[in-house]
Amino acid sequence: MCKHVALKLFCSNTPCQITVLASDGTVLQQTTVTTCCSQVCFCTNGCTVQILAQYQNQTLARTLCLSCCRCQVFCVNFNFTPLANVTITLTDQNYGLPVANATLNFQS
Amino acid sequence: MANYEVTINNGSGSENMELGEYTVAATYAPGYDMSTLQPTSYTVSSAGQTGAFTLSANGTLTIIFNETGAAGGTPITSGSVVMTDATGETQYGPVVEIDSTGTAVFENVPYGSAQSGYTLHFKQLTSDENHNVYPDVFTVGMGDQTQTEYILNTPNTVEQNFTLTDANYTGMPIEDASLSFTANE
Repeated sequence: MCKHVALKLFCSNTPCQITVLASDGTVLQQTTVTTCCSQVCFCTNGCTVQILAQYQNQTLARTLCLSCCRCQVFCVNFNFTPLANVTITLTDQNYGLPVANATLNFQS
Repeated sequence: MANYEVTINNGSGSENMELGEYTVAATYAPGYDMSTLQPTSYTVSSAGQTGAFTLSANGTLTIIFNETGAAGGTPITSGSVVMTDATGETQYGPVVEIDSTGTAVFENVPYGSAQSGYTLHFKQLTSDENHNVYPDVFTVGMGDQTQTEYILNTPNTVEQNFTLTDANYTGMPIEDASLSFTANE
């Protein structure tokens, strides 16, 4: 039986892309949240759904367990780690000229 | 644990990073010794930061300025030359003196390979009193760790006028003749 589900979504950073997946990977709903809180609805025969929230290069996931017979409303919060845009310069130590090509690895 | 790979093109790159402290290493830098990266730690504390890093190389470029632009030519005896960008407008590093053998040496320059040299640009600033400065920015493809290049400095010339007259009949011009002038070594 198709269960109707409403999600009230909160994303700490926007725009935040939301994808709702059934247990077999079928995309049940996909939307972009630009303000908080937003609501999306979908219908599924399954008992669990996975909600993916993506902001820039961060992805958070939640799994919801659905009960069988009644319409359900869920409040789901996604709190992303704050990111800072950093500019990196790389120059020759002896001459000061810009290094043509390089890759720097930053490990926390 | 956050891990970011920042790509650098022509001296700069950018990335959105989580706040915190990072250990930094160069993982790709053709022409340079990656172990010389400075600094090796970096703290992200706010947006809009700029992190300045440096790398060192260990190539040696010898430039010989002479009258042929090739091995064996008469060298100039003094002058100066500097590394620049491709236009010659921006100078990089110190002005290097050309010695009495016409030689200028650039230490710690980046180098590539025979197939793909590291491109460097230079501009000669001065020559000795008997020669002309090479007029353009010149480019070197640094393909070996140690490399020698030759740059042409033409000798200065000044216009001279000659007369040839008969020694016995004063003033009578000689119709046709050729005179050869050979420099004393």
